[in-house]
Amino acid sequence: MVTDIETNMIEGLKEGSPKAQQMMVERYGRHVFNQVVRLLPSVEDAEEVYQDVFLKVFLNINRYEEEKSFFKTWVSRIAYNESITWLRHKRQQMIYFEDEDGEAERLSEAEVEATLGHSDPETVQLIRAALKHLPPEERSLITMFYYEEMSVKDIAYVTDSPPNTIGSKLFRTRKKLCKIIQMLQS
Amino acid sequence: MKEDHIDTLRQQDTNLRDAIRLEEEALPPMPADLNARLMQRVEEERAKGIAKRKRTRILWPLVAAACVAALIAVFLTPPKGTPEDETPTGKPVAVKVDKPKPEKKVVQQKVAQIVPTPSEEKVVEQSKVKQPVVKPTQPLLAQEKPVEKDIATEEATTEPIAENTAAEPPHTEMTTVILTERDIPITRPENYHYTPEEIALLKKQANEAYLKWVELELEISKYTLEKMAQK
Repeated sequence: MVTDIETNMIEGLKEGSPKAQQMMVERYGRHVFNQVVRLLPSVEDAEEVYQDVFLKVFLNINRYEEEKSFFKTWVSRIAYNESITWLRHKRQQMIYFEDEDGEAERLSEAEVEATLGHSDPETVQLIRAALKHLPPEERSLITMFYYEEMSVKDIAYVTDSPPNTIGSKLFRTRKKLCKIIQMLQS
Repeated sequence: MKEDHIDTLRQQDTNLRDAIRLEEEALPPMPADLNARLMQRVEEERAKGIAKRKRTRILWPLVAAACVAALIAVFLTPPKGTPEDETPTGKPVAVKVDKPKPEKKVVQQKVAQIVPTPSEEKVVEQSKVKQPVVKPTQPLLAQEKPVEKDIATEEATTEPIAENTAAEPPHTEMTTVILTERDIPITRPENYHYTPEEIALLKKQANEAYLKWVELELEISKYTLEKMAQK
């Protein structure tokens, strides 16, 4: 599951080697930063959490189990958890769309496919606007799935949820996006 | 929910994929000095960790020693309540001593005068000899046993006296003797001083030491002179 370079790097991290730490930061820094900045409201907050993530990785490197996940996935998991913990601690006032009436759930799969499927620049812009109305967890979930192309199993590991729940959440989020787009169009 | 079905979504939702890609591209760039700041913080944390470990390493033996000392103190401190255990603290000690009644002797002597027996003289002699033994002011318990023994032999030799005195119960009075630190020889102030013999010996030793020191000094100066002459 882990390449030779990664194995050496992990060994170095376990020994507390600054060289290995520098290597890890260069290798995964951008990925971690993007993941954190996607979830958090400002770059300053993301910078703070970014540092916390790496400190946590260096401190808990002995807990990493090769058999359970890739090293990158393990780092993503720490980054995701740190960001969510930060959001919960700060209790920042953020407004998101919540489908309390269950209207999004009533949308048919054909409707969702028509909106999200066929390539259309105008709809892409609408989807971008709609994405901003999703809660950070859901936005992170669909980014991990569509952009990072992570498997459902890996997403489940990162978010610490069962794979079935991840599948259900993906379908629900797609419907939610559709509903937001309809609302924006109207 | 099958994973294959979910995977088809990835291919199917092209609009959504494009939108997310554009959003990701629009994310704020990572500050150039962020990694440098991170490494600096890592160094600081490491230094802090080392200092903390050192402090813990220094503190542990002290804490352990304090615990051991406390345990020893707890185990060595005698339990309160028994009077003889209070001596180390310097408090007065109450020692119960059986005090034989002096009247008994008087009675014995009187009876001996009234009823002369063949062993009268012997009894009188014995009573005279034994009188200091049955002194009421005898303080120590250690001397108590011989006294009782003597009384027993005395009674055996003078049967009439024994009979007369047998009516009286063996009257022993419990008196309290207070012992203080002054009763321990080492704590007496008069024992702090040297005797004249000891002072004389000390003076003699001091004189001898002084003479030896002078001799040594002379030898050293001789050796130095020789060295200088050789040069």
